[in-house]
Amino acid sequence: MAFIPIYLLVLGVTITVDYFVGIVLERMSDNRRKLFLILSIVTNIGILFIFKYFNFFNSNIESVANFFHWNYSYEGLKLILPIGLSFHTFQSLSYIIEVYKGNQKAEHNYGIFALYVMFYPQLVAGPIERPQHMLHQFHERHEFNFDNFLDGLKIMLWGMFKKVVIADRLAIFVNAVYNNPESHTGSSFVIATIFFAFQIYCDFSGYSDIARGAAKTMGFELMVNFDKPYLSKSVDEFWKRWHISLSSWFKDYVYIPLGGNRVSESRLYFNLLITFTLSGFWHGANWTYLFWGGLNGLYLIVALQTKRFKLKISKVFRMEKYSSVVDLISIASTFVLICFSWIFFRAKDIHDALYIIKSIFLSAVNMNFIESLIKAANSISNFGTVNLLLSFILIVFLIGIEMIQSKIVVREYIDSLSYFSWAVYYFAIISIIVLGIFSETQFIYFQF
Amino acid sequence: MNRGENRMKKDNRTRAIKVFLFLLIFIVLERGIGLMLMNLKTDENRIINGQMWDEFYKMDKNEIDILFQGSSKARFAYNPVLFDKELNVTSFNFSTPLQTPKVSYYALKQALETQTPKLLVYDIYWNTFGLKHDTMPAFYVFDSIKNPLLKYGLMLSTVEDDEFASFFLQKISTTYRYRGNVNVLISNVISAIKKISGVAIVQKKPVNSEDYKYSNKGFFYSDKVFEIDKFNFNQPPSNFEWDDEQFEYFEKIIELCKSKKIKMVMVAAPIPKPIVEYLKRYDEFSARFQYIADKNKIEYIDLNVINSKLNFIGNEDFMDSGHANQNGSIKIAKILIPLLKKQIQ
Repeated sequence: MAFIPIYLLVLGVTITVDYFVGIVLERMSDNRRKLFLILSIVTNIGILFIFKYFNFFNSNIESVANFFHWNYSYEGLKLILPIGLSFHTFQSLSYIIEVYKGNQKAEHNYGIFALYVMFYPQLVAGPIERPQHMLHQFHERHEFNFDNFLDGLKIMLWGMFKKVVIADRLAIFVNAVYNNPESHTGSSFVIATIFFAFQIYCDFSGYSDIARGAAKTMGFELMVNFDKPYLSKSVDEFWKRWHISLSSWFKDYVYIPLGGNRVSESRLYFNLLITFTLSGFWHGANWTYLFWGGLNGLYLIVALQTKRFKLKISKVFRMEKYSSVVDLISIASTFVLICFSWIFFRAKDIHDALYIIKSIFLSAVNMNFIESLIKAANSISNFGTVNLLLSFILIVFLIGIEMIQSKIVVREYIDSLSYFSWAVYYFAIISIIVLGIFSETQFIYFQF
Repeated sequence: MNRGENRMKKDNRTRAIKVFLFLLIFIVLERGIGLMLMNLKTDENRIINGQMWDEFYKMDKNEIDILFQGSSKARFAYNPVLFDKELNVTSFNFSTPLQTPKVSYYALKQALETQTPKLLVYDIYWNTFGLKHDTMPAFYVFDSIKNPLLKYGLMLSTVEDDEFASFFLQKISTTYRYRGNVNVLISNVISAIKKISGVAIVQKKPVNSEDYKYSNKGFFYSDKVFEIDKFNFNQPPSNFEWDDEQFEYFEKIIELCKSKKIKMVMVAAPIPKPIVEYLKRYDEFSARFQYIADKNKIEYIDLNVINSKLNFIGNEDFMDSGHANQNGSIKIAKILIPLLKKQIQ
């Protein structure tokens, strides 16, 4: 993934096509509207396919051809993925679909439409906005507002803390373990997977916060993309809290058009599986992402199938009396399931993922868990026991903040403390300076 | 002016004062924390390099006759005091850790603002001609360069895009510069906890405090002896590739000397013989520099080649696999002085 100036042409093509298609869709009322909708979808998905998925399909066709001893020797394309392509493609598509459905008026100002597609805070890694939420903001006058500016800086500060202090620190351990699985044991994989769960969360939500904060400084509101996902009590709830802009996009434009849940049971399961598999595929052209997406779909299917059984168990054992314990178990088990799926997301390929899973289960009862973990940490350059301890402390700190956030808005509470709030902000800034990892780790979701 | 406008003005004034106060307190806090971190552990390298440059800047204008330049290999190999005595000159060793030709170029330009030596002895360490990322070597020199154009030229040519933020932060923030010492603070806390809970504490030997010392005129020395049996000969040498940009800067150094009518000699300080054999590609390295020397009509003195014939220096004359100890520097001077005599006559 890269910023290459000529790729601005790619952005230019999608903006221009969708701008004109939007106006045409608004003016037309007959069946030709569908043709223009298809034109836009084909253009957008076509460009995405060429840059992101062509080589994947090509290499898989080649593998199949080799298996059957057919002659197939088409070379892959040597194209670098343009920065933010997956994000602005989907944002543009949502505009066209909403105009087609009649939920949104077409934007007649080319500049404003271009700005909607390539608004810089969210161009590279979202959130994937909806036209109803964003477009009108570009028509409003935005004067400098000190409170918005300050609020924006505070949101960016929290995002920066999550990214450079937590995510990039965890990344050192995760990368060392996942990039060399044969050199590590089960205990390392367990911790690396948990670390990855928090790394990807802090990395992506950190970026989203920086994007939201940057937009807020200018008086723009971007949607919240994460809502304390690891406090979810079910996988279904997790997907309502994780990467909300993408999951709602797939729900509105893939799942519901397929029939959603207003279909037969088998069709419902099919819809879920397809939606989540495609969602996984959006993340990257690799079987691991497909598997990750499909696995999450499978979790939801199993959850639906066992819903009645769980309700019965709950009634029999009168679990409403122990709701806190039940909630805790639900949160923990959901976290375990999500972490298990992250193994596929992070592993280089399916082979590595299966190797890691096997190692985790084989060394499940490891009497020297802590010892081997400390040994692993010390063997990793620039990590060591201190960073291992700090990583755990930061994760506990993050969970604590999120739990408090579920009761009160932490930022507002801090601001209510008047001058004492300054101490909190000084602490955050100094923490970033002292503990931040300022190496070449980019944001994970930039690669999508 | 109506009430509303007055109130807005008052609010803006209050906000401006608050912002100013916030920033002021932050600057004071940041500086204080930075100084506290700085005092947790002395950065010996930084102090020593500073001493070397301070000594250099105190010398009289055009006082230096021979300038030695190169990496840490050179700063341990060439003792200016020995050369001064035998050659009746004033010399100075201008070497810094891992100094690449790119960094040497800027350091030399700075040096030539106050000095015009008759001879530049440039130590050839093949490894520095393959370094693509020379931010760290630049860092040892950056603080001491006074000419702002040279300073920022060095920064722009060595700092990578993704290191810029880090490099810039190190310059403006004392806390960021010494943040590495937080590990010392955490280790102290862990030791204190262990002490309270009765767990035995293993004292870590401080690095560098007894390994070497700074003498004067840029020369460093050590009495340590290389423990060759502890060297891992089974691990193959790391992959090495030349970096063309370093050679470009080396050509610039040659041109600079020519333009200032400074004679130049290329010298490869010796390393232990078993290490030369271990490298396997040493002949290739030496041949490349011989070619450059011949092309530019410069003398190239490869002390490893001379050692292979004369055996003038042994494993016991090195402190480690790359640096001569004090005994070694005396033996190097003995061989090199007659060769340099011809250059300055």
